[in-house]
Amino acid sequence: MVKNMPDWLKKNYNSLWKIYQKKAFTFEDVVFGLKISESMATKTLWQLENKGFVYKTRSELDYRNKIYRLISPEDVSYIIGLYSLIDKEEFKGFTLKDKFILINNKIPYALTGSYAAYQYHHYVNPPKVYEIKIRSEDEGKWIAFLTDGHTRVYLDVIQETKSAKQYIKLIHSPIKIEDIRRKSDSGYYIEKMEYLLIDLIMRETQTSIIEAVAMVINNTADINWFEEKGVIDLALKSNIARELGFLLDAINYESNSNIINEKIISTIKNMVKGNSNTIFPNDDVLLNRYNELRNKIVHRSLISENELIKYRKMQEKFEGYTELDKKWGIQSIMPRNTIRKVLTDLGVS
Amino acid sequence: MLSEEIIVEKTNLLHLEEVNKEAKKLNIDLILIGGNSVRAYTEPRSWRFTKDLDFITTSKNLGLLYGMCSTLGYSIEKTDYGLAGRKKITDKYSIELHISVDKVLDWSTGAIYILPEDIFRLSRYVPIKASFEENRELIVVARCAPIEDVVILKLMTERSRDHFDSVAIILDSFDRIDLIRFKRICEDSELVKIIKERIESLIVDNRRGVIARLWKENTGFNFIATRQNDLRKKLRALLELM
Repeated sequence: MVKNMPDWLKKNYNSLWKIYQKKAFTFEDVVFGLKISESMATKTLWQLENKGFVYKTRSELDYRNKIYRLISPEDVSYIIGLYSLIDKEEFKGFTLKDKFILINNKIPYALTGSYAAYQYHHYVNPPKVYEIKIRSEDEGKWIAFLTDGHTRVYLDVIQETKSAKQYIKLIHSPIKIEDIRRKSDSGYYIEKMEYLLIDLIMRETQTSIIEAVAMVINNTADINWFEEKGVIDLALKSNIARELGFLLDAINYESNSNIINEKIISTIKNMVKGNSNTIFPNDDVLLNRYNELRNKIVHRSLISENELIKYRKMQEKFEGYTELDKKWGIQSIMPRNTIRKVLTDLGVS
Repeated sequence: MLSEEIIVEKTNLLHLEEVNKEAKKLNIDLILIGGNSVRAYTEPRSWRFTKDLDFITTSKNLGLLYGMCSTLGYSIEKTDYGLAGRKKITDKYSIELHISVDKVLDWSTGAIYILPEDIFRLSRYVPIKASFEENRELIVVARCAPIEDVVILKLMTERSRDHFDSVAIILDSFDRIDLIRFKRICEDSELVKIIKERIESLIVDNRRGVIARLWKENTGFNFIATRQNDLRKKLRALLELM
């Protein structure tokens, strides 16, 4: 019901589809193509956008430049049909999670990223951007299904807007969705711990590493490490076994105990041969800080002896895992307090 | 249906309210710092903190504080920064209080922030809004550290998450910063050099797009050019002070 289109909007949508189909168009194209006034074009686009029947992007260089693409009539009809099953009164109290529960298996999905990670680590609050993995062919359906007055759906760059209270990022999954997900206690699907862990490590940002470490610390006994599609198997296939081994070893090193079973670490170690020039994490923020320090130290004539000592100490914080670096054949630039803080906050050390 | 994180946030906020009310009743100087105090000065988008509640107090309040915490059901232990309190709520979840006494020790740098004399006098009871939509109606009032102290505490560390918090406060609440006090307390704590270097480095980070990446990492949002320009001007204004 809420997704229904009044006749005037249906007419404008159909005319636009005839002209542009899935091609991009602008506001001016709507005025020109439909031969309507600017105010009518604004109303048409605003209504279509709020109902999720058009996908809008903005230029990164000029925020005011907007580009639109229509959601196909098949996807629009499917979602209107789905919404017609919901009672209008019931819909008023519908949350995003209720929507995910309602969709159940009709269109496969898995909540991923920080939101899913939170369900496993209960540590750092998730942000307002929900990430969901979907099949690429379902993209239009998801945009139409999830978009409402308070919810905006994005495929790439997410722009903060005043009207939106929650944001969703759609991610195309190369792996069959049914294989990577499990049902949460609340009834919606989240990504399985093993896949999510690998995904977070591959993101290589400080936040994603912190979340991966917290997940491991809180769930080490429940994680499938050794079997097919277990963490070790997935890490090898994703070419991040070295990074995984290093991270698990660093957790034990910082906690001064065997939080991670030594057998897990030695199994990974046996599969990793030689050295690599990999810098881990390959995080822009850390890399910038690290390079900044190195530059300061290289130009010794420009700094005092005291400054040199200070910068060296700071540099040491980035190079605090020399033994583990040698063992795993990588160059880590992860400050030691990253893992230490998680351990302390979670009451481990 | 409420998810666990929503219940956790609600429980945390209610405990924050309880601690605040009790401290007020007993006349204990106890003010909120850390991630939760960032809520008082920023928009909800950037609230990615842990559930720990960080406070500051002075040693003369310790006697009463011990009594208050145990009455409220917290087990207390001494730490290198002051006191840590813990109250178990469920098997998986407990409320954690971290109370720094007389000074705040930043363990990423070893730098110490000596509490300014006026910090308790200038602290304000500020509404702490909930992060999740489902908890929006719950507004807890807590005694928060002044904005200048919160910004300095965030700038003095080497954690990029803290730098992000300081950027968010500077962008959202720059007009609320008393620049004269900001400069004075940097001087009193002998942090002028550290803070100046940090602001300079944030200006470079902003120009190189590092802040944009930090922003995206912590909020999920794109850091638009107008915001980048706004930050540049505000950081310059802070730098000129130093």
